[in-house]
Amino acid sequence: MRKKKGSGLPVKTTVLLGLSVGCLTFSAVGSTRAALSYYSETYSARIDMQSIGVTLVENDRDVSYRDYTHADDEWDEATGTLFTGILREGEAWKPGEVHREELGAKNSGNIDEYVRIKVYKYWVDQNGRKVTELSPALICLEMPGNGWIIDEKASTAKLREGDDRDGEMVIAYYSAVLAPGESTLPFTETISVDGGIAEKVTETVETGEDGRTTITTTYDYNGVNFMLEVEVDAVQTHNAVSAIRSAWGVDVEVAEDGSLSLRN
Amino acid sequence: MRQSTKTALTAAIALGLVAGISVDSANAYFTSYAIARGGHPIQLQDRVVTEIREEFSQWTKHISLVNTGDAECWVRVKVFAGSIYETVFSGSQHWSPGEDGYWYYDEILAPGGVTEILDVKIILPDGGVDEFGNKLSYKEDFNVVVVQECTSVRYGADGTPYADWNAVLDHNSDRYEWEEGGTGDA
Repeated sequence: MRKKKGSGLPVKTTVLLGLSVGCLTFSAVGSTRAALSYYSETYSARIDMQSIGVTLVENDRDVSYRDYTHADDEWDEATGTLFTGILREGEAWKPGEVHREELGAKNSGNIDEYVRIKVYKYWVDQNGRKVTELSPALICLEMPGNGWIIDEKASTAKLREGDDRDGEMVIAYYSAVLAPGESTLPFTETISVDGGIAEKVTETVETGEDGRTTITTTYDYNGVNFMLEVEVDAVQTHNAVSAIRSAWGVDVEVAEDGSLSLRN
Repeated sequence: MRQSTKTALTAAIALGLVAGISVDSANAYFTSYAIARGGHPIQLQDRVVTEIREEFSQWTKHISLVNTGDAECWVRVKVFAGSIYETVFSGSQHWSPGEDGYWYYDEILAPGGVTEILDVKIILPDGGVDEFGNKLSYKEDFNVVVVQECTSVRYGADGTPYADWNAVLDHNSDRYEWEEGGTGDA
């Protein structure tokens, strides 16, 4: 029998093409399951409804949020300011006095998520420049736990009495899955500036030509601002271990009930 | 020859597509974040200074303190006299004795404010008797010294004001030295 010229693809080519299509199909499915990132135009109609969002909450008030809006790369977002309304008009912040400062996160998206919080505390001068000589440990936050796991290794701030560290940052992970609309328990409950700052002084000694010595005492913390900077981060719960490692750079374990723990 | 070109081309296209998909999926986790910051200024420059006002009549010192500084403060006084001179305190109910010998004023003194009067009556010892047995007045010179102190108002966790009379300044300097004949000996 004479082979007909141009009647179809050779067997080898057909097999190779089939294998390629197979590879392509499994790759697409695999990455969709793993990352929910690759989808065809037809599939996008379904996955597009899944939106992540997170809101920083202070004393039951939504301060800042960033929510995906179902549109391509469009985010509904706002950034607010902490401590608004804590003091009355004209009232000064009194060192030693404790104020309510409940900081937490709310799931403002429509998919389950894990959240973490990063709190930075520091001092700035009247021009807004950071004053690194002053102690962040004198900005006191009460952190009762409430389901948050503090990453002791990554945190640099003083976490408890006897802790010699005096860095700026505390980082903690909320162990439970946060469902849409749910809020975490507060990571912090109160804030105060240590009353001991009134005893931190610098003395300069000057001796005049007449031999008299003048000692000038200035408060180290006079005129500076204490600052708190807070960031809440959210990540999908699907394929959480990989997602958290990729997004946050930490290794975690996820229990059967979904609770998160840090891997040492 | 044409067949192997086709094969190679097909394989290359498939590989390219697979590679392209893999790159996308590596960056595809759903994440979000929200940030805020805030702070408040701290003012400690207020001067805490008080001065004593003292009048003397009928062997009684009438003591009051005036806040000449810029900030609210707590005040206390202590009276020193020789052991043979008895002192009797009276006056305003705002003054009360502490276990340390100081008398404490129970109200915060605002800038420009003046305390109510604390009276300190000095009981003199007997001056003896003359050769006729008559009582003599006490004639010796003596001093009764009143020391007044003030301290800035501190606040407890619930905002309640209090005084810390044991507060010690934490000097951020090692240049401080007492010098003979200097301020330290004054």
